[in-house]
Parts: sequence; structure tokens; C-alpha cells
Amino acid sequence: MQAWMLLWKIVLIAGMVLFGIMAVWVAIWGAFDIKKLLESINTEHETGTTEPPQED
Amino acid sequence: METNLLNDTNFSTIDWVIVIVYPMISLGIGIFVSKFIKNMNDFICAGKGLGTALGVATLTGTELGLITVMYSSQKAFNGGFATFHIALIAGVVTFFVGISGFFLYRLREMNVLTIPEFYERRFDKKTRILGGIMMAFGGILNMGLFLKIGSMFIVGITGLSESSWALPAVMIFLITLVLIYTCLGGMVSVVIADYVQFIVLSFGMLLATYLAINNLGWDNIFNTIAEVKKEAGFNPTIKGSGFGIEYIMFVAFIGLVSCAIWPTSVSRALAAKSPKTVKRQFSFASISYMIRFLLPYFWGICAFVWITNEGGHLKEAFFPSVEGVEAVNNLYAMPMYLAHILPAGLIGLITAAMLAAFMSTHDSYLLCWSSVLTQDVIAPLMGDKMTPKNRIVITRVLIVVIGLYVLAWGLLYKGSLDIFDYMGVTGAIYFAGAFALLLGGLYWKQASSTGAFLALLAGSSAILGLGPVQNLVRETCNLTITAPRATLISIALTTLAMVAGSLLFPDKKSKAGAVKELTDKQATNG
Repeated sequence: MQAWMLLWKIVLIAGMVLFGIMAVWVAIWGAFDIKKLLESINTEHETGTTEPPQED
Repeated sequence: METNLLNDTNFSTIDWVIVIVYPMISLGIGIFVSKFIKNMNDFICAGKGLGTALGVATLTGTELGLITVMYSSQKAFNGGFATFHIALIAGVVTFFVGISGFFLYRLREMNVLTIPEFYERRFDKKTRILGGIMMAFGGILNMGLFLKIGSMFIVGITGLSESSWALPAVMIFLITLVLIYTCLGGMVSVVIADYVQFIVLSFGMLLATYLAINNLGWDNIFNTIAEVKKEAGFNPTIKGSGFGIEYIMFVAFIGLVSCAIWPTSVSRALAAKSPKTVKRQFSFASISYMIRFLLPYFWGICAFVWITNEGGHLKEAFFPSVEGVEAVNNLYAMPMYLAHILPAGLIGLITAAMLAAFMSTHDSYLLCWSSVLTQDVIAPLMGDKMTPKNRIVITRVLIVVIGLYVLAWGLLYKGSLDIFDYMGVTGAIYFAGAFALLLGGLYWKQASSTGAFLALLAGSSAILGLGPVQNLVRETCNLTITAPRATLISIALTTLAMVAGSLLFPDKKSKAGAVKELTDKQATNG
């Protein structure tokens, strides 16, 4: 039982730390993504293309 | 007794202000972005322009719904830390899907709007129509309890339950709000609302977890579970835990389904900027897929520990010692606990975040099932002669119709069951068949349209896991088929139907090239 208890403690702490870091990253870059999304939809309507250029 | 207990909340006027203003902001977003919507590509796939961070936010926003929070906390209230295996498996499986691009990479490469559209391009039109019907049927049945359970959280945390009208009133208010802004903005408003929800909910959930630990004490939480539930509260492989190996296999499959097959999740992949973005998006989102279970489980455990530690009338209400006395529905335990530990102001913020979670799940599901019915059932049946404008109108009408069904189901449904299992079984009506079709269609050249059609029909065997059907089988055949077992049997049957149907009735002209050509073209383009 002790091993299981230790495993779940590690999973909980690691999960919270990783999620906290990811939340900050998504909060910042997500705002830029929204701006790009609205711009790409506008561009699509202006040029008449069905899909914006793929970027990676 | 239930009424008095539920009235014990820190919810104040400032919290009400926060809870009322927040949905209005979402409504404002819906109205603002509606001007960007001009065709079905915008409405369903946000113009296929989602970047990685926004993709992660919207995936989390959709999959971390209030229904998930509620049924997860209920699961852990009963099962203790042993339930954590579900969260861990969900994270690991999603990470595998992200790294490998399993199913999703190829689907995004094919540039389809919905999964049934893939069915037509790989198999034939009748497979698309049947696939669309099965998907919508399983999905709509699956979301039948969302509204009621979500409204129970609001009622539980605000202490509204003393009024008999409170639950239906909250349900009507919430569904009206969701219907308005989903109809207005489609996927663009959905992803932006999801982004706002992600920020409020993620930080709110972390803060609430910290406060729960602070309130009960880290060691006390683990020690109380060890004392009351013994090893069964930690080890999911032993029988007394209520899980076992068969259940873990079921959970692993549900984990795969929820990220790689479930339409609301796949729709985010199909809306991504490129196939490579899909892989990145799901690799990062694996953390969210774990957390969406992990933190609500922990809250459910904390609620259990709180009730156990407090004892007295609180414990008696949930675990009556007198035979024949009805216990308080344990779905109320977690919101009651949060209402007890969170200070005024913060409790409003958390409730608003949960409300946002509720709304973002509803909007995504409503949009998903209505667009599937429009694109994959109605339009093909009408010979694909519908104009884009008509398609949007029909999709909006269907959103309202499904919303009314959810409201009616929530008001009429009186059963009590394990919601996680209910959702697994209803979802399996669609995903058992879809798994065989995606696996065969994307990775097996010999997969034929007859095999696909038979596999979809075989998927309906999942209804064996529903409570009333289980009772019927038990009475007539003296057989016990649990929900996880019914799902696993159904998956085996659909795979068998796909293989046998394809080998016995191969297509005269295979469409396997539809997948291969695109993959080759992508490789050539670099």
C-alpha cells in the first residue's frame, strides 16, 4: 500500500506542477493564436481560399 | 436534512455578481465573432486556423467540463486514490496519440470536416450516413445528463436547493445562454470562449486544490483514506477497489477514444493549422487530459475526508447508520466541500469557472452533433445540393432541438447510476464502430465498405451495458454483463465484423488510395 500511496503523491504533485507551467504558456501564446486566427479568417474571405497556408 | 446541509455555504452577493457577469462576457464574445462567420468551414472548423496553444486551450476547455468534474469527484468519493489510475492512463494514452499522431495526423492530412466525411471518402456514402446517425445517436444520448449534473453543482455550491424550482430554473437559464452564443458564433466563438475558460479554470482549480490541502492537511488526507478504505483505496488492481484488470483495460480504451476518436476532440485536430500542429497540440494536451480527472478526483477524496473527519450529522447524512434512511446524493459532496472551504469572492470565481467549463462543453457538443447531422446525414440524403447558408441555418436549428432534448431529458430523468460508466456505455454505441472504421480505413488496404457498414451496426451491441438492458439480460439469460465488459465485447465484435466483412465482401474498386495518395503528396511536399 505504501508504494501505491507514494506513486499517487508523485502523480498529484508532478501533475499540478506541469499543469501550472502549461497554463502560463497557453495563456500567453493562446492570445497570439487568437489574433492570428481572426486575421487568417479575414484573409481567407478576402482572397477566397478555403484553407489558410499551413505553418509549422 | 439535505436542504439544511446545502444551505451551509460561503456563497455571498459578490459571488453572485461574478457568476452572473461572467456568462455575459461569453455571450458578448459570441456576438462579436459572429461577423467572422461566412461559411461552414468557419462555423465548424474555425477556418482550420488553430495554433498549438489555442488548440490546447480549446481541447482542455471542451474536455474539462463540469460534468467531468462532477462524475470524477463522485468516482473518487467512492473509490479513493485508486481512481487516480484513470487519470494517469488518460495522460499516458493521450501523450502516445500526440507523439505518434495515431488516427489524427492522417485525418487532418485528408482535410475532412467530420469523421463521417472520412467514411465516404474511404468507403462510400451509405457508410457516411449510417456513421453520422450512429455518432449523433450515441453522442446525444451521452450528453443527456450533462445539463442536470452541471446544474446540480451550481445548486450545491450556491445553496439554492431549498427551493424546489431552483434546479429546473438553473437548467433552463444555462441551456438558453449556451444555445444563444453557440448559434451565433460557431467554432470561432467556441474556441475563444474555451480560451477564456482555460485561463480562469486552470488557475482556479490549482488554487482550490491548494486550499483543500491547506484545509485538511496533506498527511491527514492520505491517512484517512488508508484508515477507512485500507489498500482498496489506493490499489486499483485488487478486487475490493471496485476496479480490477478488466476495468483498467476499459479505462485504457476509453482514454484512447476520448482523445483520438471522440468527435469533439477530433474536431479540434481537424481545425488545427496543420497535421504537425495536431501532434504538438495533443502532446501538450496530455497534461490537461490527466489533470481534468486528477484534480476533481482529489476534490472528491477531500470531500470524503472532510465528511469522515467532521462526523456527526454530516456523516450521518451521507452514510446513514439507520437502515431505510435515504443517503444524500454523493454528487453534492464535492460542491458542498468547496462551498465550505473557499472564501467569498473566490467561491464566485471558481463557480464562474465551472460555469464556463459547463458552457464550453455544451457548446462544443451541440455544435459537433448538429454539424454531423447536417453535413453527414441531411446533406448527403439531399444529394449535396444544399447551399452553405442553408447548412448553417439547419445546423443552428438542430443546435436548438438538441438543446431542448437535453433540457427535457434532464428534467425527466430520475435514475441514479455511476455517471462515468453511463457515459462510457452510451459513447461506445458510436466509438466501438468508429474505432474499427478508423483503424481499418486508415491503416488496412483491404478494409471494404461492407466490412465498415457491418462494423457500424455491430457497434450498437454496446447498449448491452446500459442498466435496463443489463437487468433484462440478467433476468432472461442469468448472465451478468458489466458496463466495462459490454464495451470490450462491443469493440471485439466491431473489429471482427470489419475484418470478416472486408475479407468476405471486398470492394470491387478499393478507395484505400484516398488515404495513400494524400500521405504520399504530403511526403513529397515535405
